[in-house]
Amino acid sequence: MTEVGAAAVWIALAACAYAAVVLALGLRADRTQWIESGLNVAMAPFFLLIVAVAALLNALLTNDFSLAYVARNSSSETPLLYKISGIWGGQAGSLLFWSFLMSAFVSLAIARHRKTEPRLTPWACLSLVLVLSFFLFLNAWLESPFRRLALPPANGRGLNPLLEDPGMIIHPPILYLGYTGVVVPFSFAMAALMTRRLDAEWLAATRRWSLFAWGALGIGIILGGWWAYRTLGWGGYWGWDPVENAALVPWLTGTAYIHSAIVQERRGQFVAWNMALVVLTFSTAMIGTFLTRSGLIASVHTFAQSEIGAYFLAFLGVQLLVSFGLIALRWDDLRTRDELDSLASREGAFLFNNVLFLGLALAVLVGTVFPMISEAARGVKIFVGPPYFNAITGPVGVVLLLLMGVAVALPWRRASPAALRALRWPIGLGLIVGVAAAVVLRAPGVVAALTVIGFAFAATLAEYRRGAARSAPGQRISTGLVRLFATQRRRYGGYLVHLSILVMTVGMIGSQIYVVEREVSVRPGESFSIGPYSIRYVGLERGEAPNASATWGVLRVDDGGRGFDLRPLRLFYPSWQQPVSRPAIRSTFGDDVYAILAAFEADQRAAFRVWVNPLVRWVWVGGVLFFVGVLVAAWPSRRSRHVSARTQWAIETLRDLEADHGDGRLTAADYRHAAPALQRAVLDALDRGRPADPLEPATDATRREAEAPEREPSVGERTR
Amino acid sequence: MKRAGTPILVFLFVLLTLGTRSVLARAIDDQIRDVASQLMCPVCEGRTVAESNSQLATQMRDLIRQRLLAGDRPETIIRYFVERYGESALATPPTTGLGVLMWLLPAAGVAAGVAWVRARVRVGTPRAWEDDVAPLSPGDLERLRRGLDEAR
Repeated sequence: MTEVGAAAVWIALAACAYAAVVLALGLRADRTQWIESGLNVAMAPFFLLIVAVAALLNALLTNDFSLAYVARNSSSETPLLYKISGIWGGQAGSLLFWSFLMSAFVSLAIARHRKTEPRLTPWACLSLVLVLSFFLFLNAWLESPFRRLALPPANGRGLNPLLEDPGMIIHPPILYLGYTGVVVPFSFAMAALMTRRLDAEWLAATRRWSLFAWGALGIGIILGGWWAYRTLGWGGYWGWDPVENAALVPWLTGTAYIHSAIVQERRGQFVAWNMALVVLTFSTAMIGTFLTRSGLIASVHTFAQSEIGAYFLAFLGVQLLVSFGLIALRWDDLRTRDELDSLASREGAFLFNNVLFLGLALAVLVGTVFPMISEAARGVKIFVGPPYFNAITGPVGVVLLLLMGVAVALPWRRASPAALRALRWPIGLGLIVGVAAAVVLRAPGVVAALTVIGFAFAATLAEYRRGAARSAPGQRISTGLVRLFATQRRRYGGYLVHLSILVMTVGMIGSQIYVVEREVSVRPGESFSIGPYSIRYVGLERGEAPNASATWGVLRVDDGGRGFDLRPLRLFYPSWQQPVSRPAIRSTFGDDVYAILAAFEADQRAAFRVWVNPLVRWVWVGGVLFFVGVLVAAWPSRRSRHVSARTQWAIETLRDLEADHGDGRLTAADYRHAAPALQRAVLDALDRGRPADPLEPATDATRREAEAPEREPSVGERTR
Repeated sequence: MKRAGTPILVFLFVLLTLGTRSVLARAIDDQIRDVASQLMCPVCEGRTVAESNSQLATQMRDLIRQRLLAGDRPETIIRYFVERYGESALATPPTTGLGVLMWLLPAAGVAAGVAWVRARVRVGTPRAWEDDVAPLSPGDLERLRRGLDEAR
């Protein structure tokens, strides 16, 4: 089975190479058969890698310690679930899993788009298989999990104890989904550049892929924080660790992208900019992969060191050169007239959003690689730790939240005075929250943040109310909300994500700024107090975990009510030298009491570190809401089969315009000026897009025909 | 437009004023945490002294407590650790030498971004961009309405 797995990786690599060559030749010579063959073969790696992953799983489950990977990352005593998660518990396995997920995206993208985007898909596929073959090369050549040991040990070392946590079962796969999923929008962007089909097509084709990858990255990051909180034992969930940052950077650029892409849909602007953002997001995702997997940066996550750094750098270099080279080459086609009617508009807000998110991404990226740079330049490793990142993200974050509240209330084009006046209620609520916060909490930064959160929260809720009233006039607000989520899923799902960020921020403020910590050394029977709690140390107890021996301290916590016990563990794994501390956490919506057993003596004297973390749970509540929001936003909508993506955009743009006008957010003069061109565009598109027989839905062929001539201007261009 | 913009500007100004930090008297454990989170644990890569549960970090926190109780200022304590463990003991890049780059680069990046936006994006060219399209006839508008309903 092992040999089958190893062979499958090699065959997958060969398939990728074949597909790349055949596609390149076929596209050059314009030979449909070659292209079709390339597309077909490019689906093969997915199935081959299923076999490879199954082979690795089999080796893990059957305790085949003749494999170096299994011996290092599993043992006979490892619980079943963690044997399975052993697939991504180590370097070689996680890279294989990485390729597996990427190959899944390749196959899905080809299957989904080869019929609907026949021009773009072959080029996109070429880019996809080139990226995939790099990873397969690593799997086959440098980091194979199928390497045999000359002298197999009787038992394996076991999974790193820190990874034995439910968070570790789901965090890596979801994060990897985000990292690898970015390859699809990137490849279609490359295809658009190659084919000069730079209009709506590629963007429309990849909107959901981008949203999915971005959402997965975000959820992966949150789950990573959850895992860190539950296992690492320092009372926090985010340490600005290089690997955390590595995932955050593409998420930040991705956030900029999913916003600015909407500007292209609605106004036909920011075309070159969107292209650059996609490339940037993919590149930073690859840099993230590189940082995570090369062992170049010291981090709690680098559970293995490796030699792949140089290859990765070469790959990154080529990728950056090719993609930005292509953008430069097509610069004249990409340029749009980026004229804004006003900064007080949705597109203006998105512009600020982009600048700030990219600024943040730059700061985080620079901070992450700076230790390497300083070591290379001066021989001294200068660390960039939490204080730096907090100093930058705090204020920028507050401005972004403010922008979030303002942006949802702005129309496209130019806000009417009434639109700005409508903000006075949310502003009022924000100020009330702010004053209350100022009385109770006093810390100015926190007061500012809470003011803005109150404002943005009210503005977002007002937006839901407005939307609900518009979509179901005169009916109950719940009816309207249901209809909103049914018809304008992306927008109102997106606002759920906005709310989730606000909820998370409240949790972060509580837990980062109002955390209290105590470090005590106590004998049984002694008490100490922390925050509102008084804690008595009862004594030590001992027991056996499945694959470790455990000692735990019993802490009786008096919270003024019935009280509760905390049992922080110290685990000794026979195969690992360092004992591992497992925190004990009592969590409520108010605060978490978090304790670890740092050390103990034979006479039962013990050292504990205890934290009281206010509002942490709201970070996870926000995380769940984020997930729901992404799910709503990315859920496939039943798009009318009569119309193409471009027509759909025109229709949505017109609907937005009508709604904004109806709500008085757009002045009557601005509306009268903008409406006819849009209405004409939609009418023309509908006329052309309507099939001959109304009972027969438009096929792809007739739809394409209907869209001829090829370079029909997009909505934005048309209305110029 | 102008009148409606004023409250927003005032609002922004208030926020920025509030945003500047003030120093408040704080508990000793908080002070330890403040100092410890500005120092990197020398034996565990990539963790601050505040986060780390290593023996050395525990000892360092203990020393910070003693020094604070003895009346030392946080800066003095940090300087002590830097002298002992070198510049890499700092969790924040220094504001001298190469470290300045850290603070300047993101700011320069944002400034460049803003400059680029200013150069490329023209704002407030009123109605520069819609061609004058004649309003649709009532018949066309009706057709449009029906078309939209159908496309829903």
